[in-house]
Amino acid sequence: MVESLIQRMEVRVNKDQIQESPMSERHVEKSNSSLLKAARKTHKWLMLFLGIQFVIWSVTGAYMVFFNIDYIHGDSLIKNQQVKLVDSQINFSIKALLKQYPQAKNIQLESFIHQAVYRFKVGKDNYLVSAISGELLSPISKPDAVALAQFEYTGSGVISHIELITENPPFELRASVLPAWRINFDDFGAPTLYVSATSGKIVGKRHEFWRLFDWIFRFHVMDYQDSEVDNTLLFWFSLLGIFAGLSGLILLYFRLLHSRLLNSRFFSKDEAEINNDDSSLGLKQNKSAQK
Amino acid sequence: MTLIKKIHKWASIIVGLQVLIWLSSGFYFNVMDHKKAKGTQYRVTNTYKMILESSKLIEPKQALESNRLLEKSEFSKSSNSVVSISLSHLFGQPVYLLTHEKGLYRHFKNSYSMADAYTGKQITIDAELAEKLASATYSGPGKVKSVTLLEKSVDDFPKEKNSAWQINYADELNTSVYIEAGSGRLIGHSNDDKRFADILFMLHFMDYASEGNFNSIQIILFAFITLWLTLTGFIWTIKLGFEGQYQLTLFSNKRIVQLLDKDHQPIGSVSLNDKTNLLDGLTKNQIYIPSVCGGGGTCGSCRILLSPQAKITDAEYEKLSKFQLEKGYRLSCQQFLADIESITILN
Repeated sequence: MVESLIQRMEVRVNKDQIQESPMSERHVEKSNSSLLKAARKTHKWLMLFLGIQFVIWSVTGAYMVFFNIDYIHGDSLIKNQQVKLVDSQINFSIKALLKQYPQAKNIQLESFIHQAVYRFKVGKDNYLVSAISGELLSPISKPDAVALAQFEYTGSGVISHIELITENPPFELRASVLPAWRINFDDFGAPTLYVSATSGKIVGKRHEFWRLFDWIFRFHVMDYQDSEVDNTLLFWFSLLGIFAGLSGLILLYFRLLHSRLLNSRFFSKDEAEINNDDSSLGLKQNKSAQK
Repeated sequence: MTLIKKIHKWASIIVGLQVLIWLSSGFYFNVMDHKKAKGTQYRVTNTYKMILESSKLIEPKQALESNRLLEKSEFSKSSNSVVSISLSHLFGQPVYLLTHEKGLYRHFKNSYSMADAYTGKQITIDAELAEKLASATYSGPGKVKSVTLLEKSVDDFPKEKNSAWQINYADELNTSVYIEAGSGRLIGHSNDDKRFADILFMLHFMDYASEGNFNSIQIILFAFITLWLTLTGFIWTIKLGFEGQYQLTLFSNKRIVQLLDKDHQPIGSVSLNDKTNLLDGLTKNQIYIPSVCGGGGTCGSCRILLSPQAKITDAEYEKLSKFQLEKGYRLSCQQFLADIESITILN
């Protein structure tokens, strides 16, 4: 009992010595110091759990900003041909069309490759009718779909795969545009054009960079269950991430401010070396701070 | 490791604040009301249905011809080619919408003209028509405040590349409705809720020029530097793990350790926790070892002398000389109790 009391007193004495010694000036202000320590702990521990997500955020984010979004969207796969309507091709009148299809909606006179056509809807179904003869062209044949794809495609045009999709569309194709021809090209990035079998229009374009982008985005927003941006996982990671980031900035603040302070006032190299036994052992200086 | 830490520091100097902005805005996107952020509070579908008397229709071919004549006489500047004629309507009245230049998307540059589908008379979307079109999609309480033609860009819809009518309503959300000038198409509604979300998107995408994308040179640069920040941080964390810096105090044991002063004279003993680093452990016992960096192993000021000699960490290789290390000097923030018997306090 008495012994421990003495020990305590000794410790106290020692503590007082520390407080009075010039070295004590090295202490940053106490409140600062506890803020620094809290920041250090917060940053260290939060990043143990969040760190991997920070890596994922930065890698996926970098992917999304490095690749131009128009390129990602496959805009460069499509020529967007501007085929002019020619009077001589328009023989089938709109009145005749309306007589034949009284329920026709959204009637458009356009072109299918170089041929003038009427496109319209009856209910949910698309129709393609020749403006030259009034002949029903939809659903279009495989060679027609291929011809359109090659007409619009900007690349070499070597086709690797053709398939008519009537149900269960892949993730990258909306179900509402079915039935559609899937035409894969044998080019860099494995581009695919989708041609609607009923409207004879390009209804989708994809390449590997876009397919990857879709996944990248889901990782970026932590959407692992089709719940999009407002998911609980992202809530906790981004909320705690703010604290992790903030604590990192506090550490940076102290590192920048106080290492300069430290170096200029207390840790000048010469002083440290002459001062006492310990310093003569050659304390390595904070080199980055000296600069 | 010095290089890793240095990169981490410099990267955080450059991108640190932006990382915080990314995190905060990202958090906002997670919690925001996505419906409100769309700006469609007062948006309704235009309910006009086309009333078509097909016998009165002029043929699209005629519309094509009159367009050619008109363009020859009036607008010699523009081409007279037409790529598409669609039968549409304005408030139920059939019109032909002629597309002269078709953009890949509707918001890309398009060029249109419009004609009455019964008479072939040219129609232009003027302020009055635009206001009527806008109001047909607006269900809010506000009156029309102003109608302006925006020819260059639409701030509320930065991706829109066509000129548009802006119709402002005097409601509590400052709703604006945008009608494409060429076609009469509704571009969209915007209001203060959407504008606020858009500011955060702008910050998140660093899209200060409001180009409506996230491919600006500044964000590419920042994203590149952020890669360095997170990867160095990742390596650092793994390193800390291997050095045993992640210890849970939950399962800790305490042990008494001798304290010596700088003349190696005993000055007492303290009870220390084996899962807390020595710097923190001593601080808890009111023994303050100088530390500038707060225990990061970056300032090198929390030196102590340990006996028996302890394992040397990376930070100590960097901050202490070979001679000091041989003598048993260590950084108290890097060391744990392990089998230490005495600690020499150096000041």
